[in-house]
Amino acid sequence: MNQICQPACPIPIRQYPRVLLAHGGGGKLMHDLLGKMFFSAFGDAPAEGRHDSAVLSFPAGRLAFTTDSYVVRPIIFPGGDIGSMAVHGTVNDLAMSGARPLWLSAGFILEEGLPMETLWQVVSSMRAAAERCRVRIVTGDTKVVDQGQGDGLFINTAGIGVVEHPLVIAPGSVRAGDAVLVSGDLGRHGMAIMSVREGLEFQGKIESDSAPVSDLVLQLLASGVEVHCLRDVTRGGLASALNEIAEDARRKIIIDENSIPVREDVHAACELLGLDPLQAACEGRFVAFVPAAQADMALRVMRGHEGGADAARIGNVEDGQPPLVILKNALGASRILDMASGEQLPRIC
Amino acid sequence: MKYLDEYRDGEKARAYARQIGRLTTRPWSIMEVCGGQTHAIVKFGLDEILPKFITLIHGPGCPVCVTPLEYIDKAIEIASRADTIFCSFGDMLRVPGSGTDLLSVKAGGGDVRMVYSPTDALKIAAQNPGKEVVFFAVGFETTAPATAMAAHQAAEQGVKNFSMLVSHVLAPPAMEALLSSPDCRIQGFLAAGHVCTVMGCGEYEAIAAKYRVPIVVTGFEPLDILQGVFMCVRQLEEGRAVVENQYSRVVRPDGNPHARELIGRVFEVTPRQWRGLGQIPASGLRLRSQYEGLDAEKRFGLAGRATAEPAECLSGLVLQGRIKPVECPAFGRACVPEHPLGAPMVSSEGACAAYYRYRNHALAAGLSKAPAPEKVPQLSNQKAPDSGDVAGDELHGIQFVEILDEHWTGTPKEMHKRSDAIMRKFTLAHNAELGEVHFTNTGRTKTLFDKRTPHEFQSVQALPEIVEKGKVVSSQPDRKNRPTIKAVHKIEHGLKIGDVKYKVDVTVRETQNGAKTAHQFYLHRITKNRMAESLACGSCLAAKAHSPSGQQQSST
Repeated sequence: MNQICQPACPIPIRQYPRVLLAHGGGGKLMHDLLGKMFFSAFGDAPAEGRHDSAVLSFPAGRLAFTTDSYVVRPIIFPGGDIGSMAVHGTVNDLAMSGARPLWLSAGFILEEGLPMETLWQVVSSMRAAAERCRVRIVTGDTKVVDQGQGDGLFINTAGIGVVEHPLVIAPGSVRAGDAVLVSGDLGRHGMAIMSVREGLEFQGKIESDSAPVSDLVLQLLASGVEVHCLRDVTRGGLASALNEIAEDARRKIIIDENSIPVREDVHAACELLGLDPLQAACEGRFVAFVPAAQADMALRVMRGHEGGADAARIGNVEDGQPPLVILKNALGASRILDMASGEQLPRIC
Repeated sequence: MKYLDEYRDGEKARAYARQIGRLTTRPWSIMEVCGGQTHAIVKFGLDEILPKFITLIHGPGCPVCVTPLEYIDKAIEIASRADTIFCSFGDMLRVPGSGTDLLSVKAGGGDVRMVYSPTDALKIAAQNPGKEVVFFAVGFETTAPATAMAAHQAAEQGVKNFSMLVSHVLAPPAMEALLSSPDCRIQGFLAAGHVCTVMGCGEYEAIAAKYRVPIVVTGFEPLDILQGVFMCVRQLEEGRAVVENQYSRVVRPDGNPHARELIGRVFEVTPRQWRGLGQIPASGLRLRSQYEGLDAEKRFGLAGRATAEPAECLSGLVLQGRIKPVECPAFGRACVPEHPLGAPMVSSEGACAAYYRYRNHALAAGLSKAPAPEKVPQLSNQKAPDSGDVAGDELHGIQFVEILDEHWTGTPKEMHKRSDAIMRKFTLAHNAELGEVHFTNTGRTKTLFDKRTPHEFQSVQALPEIVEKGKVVSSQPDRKNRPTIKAVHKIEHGLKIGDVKYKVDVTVRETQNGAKTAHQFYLHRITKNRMAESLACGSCLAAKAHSPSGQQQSST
């Protein structure tokens, strides 16, 4: 596959520097795009020929299945792009059930006029991300919409993984007394995007935390930690992740604000914009609920992995109603950590 | 983070709170003017660690909240034009106008952009010469210099397609308007540090002297605010009323002369309508005549339009500090951040949003200290909810909490489930005599155990309010002498479900676990208030109930 995947865009720029409606029209141009761009990046068609669906042999056990759509502006941002994000995001969703990711599908909605170079960059980045996650992109689809009807490029990926452990990793397994761990510093993806968004550019080198967490999760499981629940921290940040679990588990989550890892530049950007880092998005972080007795062991495993160097224990689960997330601050006062309502809007002053 | 963590140090904060406690000999009501301060107070729970006699009244210093409805409507009208790019600070986008909000205009195809600075809007104008670019200039003296700079640059560069919808306001006239109200009980101010960074402290000296009120220019971090409260209380206790500068690391006595000069060059002082406060003389800024070419109201022919404020939103009273957000009947019900009725629920600096976000309405009732509506001025003709709306009527010394009769139907099991779901949301209520009373699983199970009738089940809706307002009528040791139960308290209060009056008896257990004591709601029973019933049947009450004044009075 490597020798086919040359670093330059395989669609001759002189010929078609931008995506045309015809690239989705089912004719020759579309076949060219599929063959030269997608098949060359994601691997050869099967020996028996291209077909409408991929036929795969599934190992024994439980299967995890998920899907997610990716919409981000700008398409290429500090620390990643929509392509790597579309692979990491879906792989991470599989990892949250403790599944080993196996296969992905990739659906592209391209806006007429999208530079072919940008598409190639995104597709190459998907390939690299898939290799890193040891997952294969086995089926896909491409559509082209009129200019103005899309935002450059939307991607949908669905993923299938195999569950090789006997645990039920879900909010329902969360128990009072569980320790709450995060796998790393929070809010970086949200602030990286914010820093390059039109009208809000600010100087600084905040890079997205977009990364796969499946390897880290599999190591955690292999170490024998009885993981009760995992949740990746994405849109809405830690606040949404914890509130969703508190509600589903019908338990209280008590968090110590001082123990939550937030990088100084992210914290500064949030202060500047009047945003809450706990409501800012991540793309390579998760929270884990584990028995308190195993918290230290879990932290050691996480910190020993490149994706979890900044892992920290941030709180505990308690019985009690209503199911809320309570944040204790340095002053000894506590407040509710609520989900953000809609999009975070920077403050006036 | 450097320059931030130092001002959020927990140990120092608690030490300040203790020091304020030692200093305080009687209750004081202090208004923090700025919405940023309100936000910090609620976010960091400063009102929780302050001594009980200090009441913080949340002032009108949120630029989003005080921008009058008519300007939001004008903004929406401009933003809806096809030839226009409308630029605004982020948190103005969700403020409801009389019909819609700017985010919805954007969703409908309007080109509405969020900017961080007015000069960014000017850049957008330069990049889009074929479009009219309008900046929504709101805010206090804090944001006015940046607007003035954009106006100045636009004029200098001769940018023809740029204009601004100006609704700038000034802080000191609003403070004076609050103080000049005859029944004002604000005893001290924490002035907004950012405003003084620009304007200096000079404007406040005349106010402090005229109204005999201490004014402490205060910052926005927890220790800033606690120190501001400390300085204010110290003045109050010593009988002084001067301007002091807590925020001296940022605020110079004469402010920022360049910024002031720029404001003076571009703007002139004008009367301004404030949302919830009404018109205040000399409280706003408008473009001077040489800059009137930049005035979007003139450019788009919108001058002179006015819109009435909706009646159901009590944000005016919140902005005047006359009620706490949780006392508004719409708070957390018809009015939530996703569907705000008024601006204070929109802006992150708004008092309602701060309470909703950090306290949530069920909890807020228990966490917030007793409100001090009588301690604040009556400015507008908007009426505070009278006691009939909030606390029920007065009858034989019993206060009634009123809830609507929802005419619950279904099997006891179904109604049990419904009550159970309601009670699960309760956490704690604050009783004046007992302090915090916690709702626990045990109490929920116990009290629902013997309930049978629809009203018995529905009565749980009122429990936090009953615990909060009820009188402790007896306190006795546990009959079984269990070491974990220190005492059993009975609380009594009235409850009106629709037209039916009940007496509610609540049992609260005082538990002891090691050195820790706590109050836990244990059970409640409702009984028809016989005295009320018999009187209600008699002619005397009937006559009174229909008397012209409509007042029901104690007839014993």
